This record gives sequence, structure tokens and C-alpha cells, in this order.
Amino acid sequence: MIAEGISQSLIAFFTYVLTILVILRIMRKTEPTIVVLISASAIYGFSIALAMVANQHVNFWYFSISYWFLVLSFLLAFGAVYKSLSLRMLLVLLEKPNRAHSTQSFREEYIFGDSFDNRLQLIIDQGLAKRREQNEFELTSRGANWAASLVKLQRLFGIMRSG
Amino acid sequence: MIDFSLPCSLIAALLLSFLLPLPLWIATRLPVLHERNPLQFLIAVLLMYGTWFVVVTVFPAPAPADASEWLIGFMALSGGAIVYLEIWGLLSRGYTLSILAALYEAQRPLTPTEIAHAYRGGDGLDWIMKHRLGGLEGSGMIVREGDCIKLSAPRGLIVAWLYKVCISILGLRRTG
Repeated sequence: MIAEGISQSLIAFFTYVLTILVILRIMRKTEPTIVVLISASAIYGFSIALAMVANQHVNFWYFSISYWFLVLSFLLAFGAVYKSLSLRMLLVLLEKPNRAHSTQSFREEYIFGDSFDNRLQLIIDQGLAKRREQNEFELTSRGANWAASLVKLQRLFGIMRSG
Repeated sequence: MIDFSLPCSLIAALLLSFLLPLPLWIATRLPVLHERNPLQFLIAVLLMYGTWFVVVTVFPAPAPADASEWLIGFMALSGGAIVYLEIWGLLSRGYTLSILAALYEAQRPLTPTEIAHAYRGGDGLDWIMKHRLGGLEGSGMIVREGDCIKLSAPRGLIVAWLYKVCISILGLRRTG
């Protein structure tokens, strides 16, 4: 019965991977994080519904545990590929002549340029901050609430500095 | 037909994975683990796996019936660990969230230069460069040559190529 649950979840998981590979190429303007999260939930719900309609035996817990374990493992790797600063640094170097770059230029072009600007744009796009005159950034009330919760949670777990 | 039956070993695994923040909170309060966020998390997770193993082997009721039930129990624990690892990673290493925290703690609008200086409680954005480059150098992915940093061969080169292949397979336009 458990092996059955695992094989059903494997089928659902591979369907999920194929689905996001297609959707990420079609919906170029949608935030990839949203695509992978919504697709995971949609394929899960669809699989359960399909089993009910087809009157196929599915143990809800075995299927759910193994499906979400596979999806979460995938999302862990996806998060590293999509947002890891260290991996991106390797890619920047790969694309440079001789695969080398001066530390100072790297700092200015990538750390203080590309990567930092992307993050600032992201918090504006998410409605967490707004750009004022003289290129100043100010938290929106939503951003301030998020940041206050974040700081409280960090203090609760003794995280004094993050980054 | 949907079957909702759940063996005791899996109830224990789901409960323990849900309660992972509890040993994590205790780990953060131990002076020997002060500001060692990855180690705090590792110890909490090992404690979670250990507790489950003790519960299912000592008490007869929740003992897994066969190898596949052990496997599902491991998946339940690991799934919970991954969820909390993602949250823990964001709290302790999140770049974007740290920018938000810098803006919040300043209690006034900041220019990008001021945000860069206020980053990580005043360590500044240079800290992130030193930290990440230090990690890459320590793991043998890059080497320093005078004022330059260079991809190491073969390790750094292989990882960078694999990373490029993953981006291509996933069809991502922007990363990092």
C-alpha cells in the first residue's frame, strides 16, 4: 500500500516537473517562484481529484507525504539555482575572459550593481517599498509590517544579524 | 477511493517535524552555538530524527511495519526539515529580507548607498562579498590571483557549467 502511494506520488512529481518546464517557458513575465509554488499545489489537487474520479485506491497520507517530500526537495534545489548569490558569482566568472575578474570590478558591477539593484527592484515590485524623490527608498505600510515581523522572528531565534 | 488511514509511526514523524522549531529555539539559546546558525539548525534536525528513531524503536505501538514505512517516516521528517530550512535560510541569510530589515531599522527613507552601508546591522554590503567569496574560496571553487578572482579548474568550472545547464533546462532568464 505504501509502495503504491510512493509510485503514485512519483508519477505526480514527474508531471509537476514537466509542467513547470513548459510553464516557465510560456509565462516569461510571471515570477518563477509563483509558477513553481502554484503548479505544485495544482498538480497535487489534480492528482487527488483524478484518483477520486477514476475510483483508484490512494492512501492520502502516503501519497501526500511522498509527493511533498519530492516537491520540497526539488524546490530546495530550484531556490539555490534561482536565487543563490554564490552560484551566480561563479556564472559571472564563467562568462569573463580567462574566467577571471578583478575583485574591485566584481564588487562594483555585480555586488553593488546588478545583484543589489535587482533586490531593490524586487521589493518595489512586491509593494514592500516605494521609490521617492532623490532616489530614496521608503517602506510601504505592508513592507513595514513584514519587516517588523521579520525582525521579531529573528530576535525570537537569536539571529542578531542576517545576510 | 481515498484512504485516510495513518500508522502511529507516521503520526509521530509528522508531529515531530511540525515541532522542529522547539529544539531549534533551544539550540539558539545554547551559548556554545551563539551566532552559529547552520550548526543550530543541524543539531535541531538531528535531534528530531533521533527522537523519532527512539520513539518508534522503544515503544511497540508506533514501530514501522516494514522498510517502506521507515522510508515514508523519513520523508515526513525530511519534508518538515526542508520547510523549516527554507524559512531558517531566509531569516539568517536572506539578502532581500536583510535589505528590508535595514530600511525598517533606519526608520527613515534611505538612498541605495545608505542601504548598502546599513546592511547587516552596519556591516555594509562589502560583508556579503567577503562572506560569499570566502565560502567559494574555502570550498575550492575560486582562487585568488593578486587582485583577481578566478574560477578554479576543474571544480569551480564544473559547478559553474552545471549551474548554467540547470538555468537553461529551467528556462530562467534571471538568477542570483
